[in-house]
Amino acid sequence: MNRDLLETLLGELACGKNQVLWLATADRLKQDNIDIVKTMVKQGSHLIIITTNQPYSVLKKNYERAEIDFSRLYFIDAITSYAIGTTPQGEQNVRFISTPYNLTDLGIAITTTLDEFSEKSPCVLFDSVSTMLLYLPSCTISKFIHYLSNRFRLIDTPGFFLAVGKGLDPMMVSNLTTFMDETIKPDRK
Amino acid sequence: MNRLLTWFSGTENQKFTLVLLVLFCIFLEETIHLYWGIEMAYTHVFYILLVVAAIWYHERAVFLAIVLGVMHVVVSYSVFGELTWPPLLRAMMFILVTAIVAVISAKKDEYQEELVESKKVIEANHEVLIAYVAECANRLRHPIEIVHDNLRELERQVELEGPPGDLMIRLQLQVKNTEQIILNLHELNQAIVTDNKQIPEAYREFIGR
Repeated sequence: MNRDLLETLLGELACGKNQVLWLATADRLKQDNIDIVKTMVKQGSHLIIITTNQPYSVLKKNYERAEIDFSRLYFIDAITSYAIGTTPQGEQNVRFISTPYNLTDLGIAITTTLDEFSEKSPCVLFDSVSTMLLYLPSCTISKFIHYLSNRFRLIDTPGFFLAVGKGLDPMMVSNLTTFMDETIKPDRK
Repeated sequence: MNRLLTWFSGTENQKFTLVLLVLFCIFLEETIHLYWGIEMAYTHVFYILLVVAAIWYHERAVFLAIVLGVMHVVVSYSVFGELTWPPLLRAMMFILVTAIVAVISAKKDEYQEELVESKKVIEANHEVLIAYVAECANRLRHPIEIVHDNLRELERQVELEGPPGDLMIRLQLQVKNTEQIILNLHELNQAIVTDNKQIPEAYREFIGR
């Protein structure tokens, strides 16, 4: 997808306070994450990035390399503590969760962060639904995504849920599509 | 004609059909036997009622056969003034034929119910199998692809730019991911062997190990 089209699309989706399922290909997932964050930041949005895929430190390097304004980003990292056992000290814009399958803690962290950032009208990027399958059964993930999308919808917050389209079974894609306002398959446009 | 037969044999109309047939049989008994004094042939019509009743109500139809038989014998006695063998034999045949059809029909219905039950069990097992295969793909194949892609990307990066500063963290993440995949595999194996009596005990023990 070219950059102009991406900017227009993301702008429209964010203005409409839409919940979006972004079905990327496996090799494009990382780049799509960077493209979405870069475009949204460029449009003046604040972003809350929930990551269960790449640790905060790796994402930070990716975003720095892509010259993204880091002050507009806030992270909820559910993977660093679980994978590495420790968390970086002194980081201001990140909240660490012990494990990705602790959905209660993850839910609380998301709610608290949304409350803190309510004045800045943030967007939320969830990276990624596919990686959650490593830690939880598909039905639990579907329920959690349903909860999150409704939570975001109630407070008029646009949400982008990244997933690898090919990695999800048709029933799960069908469920997730039902919860969302839009489903984007960027590789097919 | 077919629609008429379907209507009369419909579950909700079976009693009505039987009542009609009973009334018709009584009418024949009253007119042909009692009024005209003819004892032959018309009793064949009774078998229609008795066979149909036996198919639908099994052994309970025997009571109807007894009632018809007694009625036939009583009418015969009142017409001829004596008890003869032919009406007695006919009455016994009513009961015998009804009992045979009732037993065969009951067996057939029993097998049919067993077949339906067995089909339900097979369908339920099939659904479980499909869910298991889908969950395997979700929780094994896709996570392995994620780990593979991440390692491949890391390999490319090391090849092009040398080891990145966060190499250790990224490797630790992939190790943790593979551990989780192994846990998922155990969990899925446990799910399929628990309460699944179709898998031999030795294999259940091996898979669940």
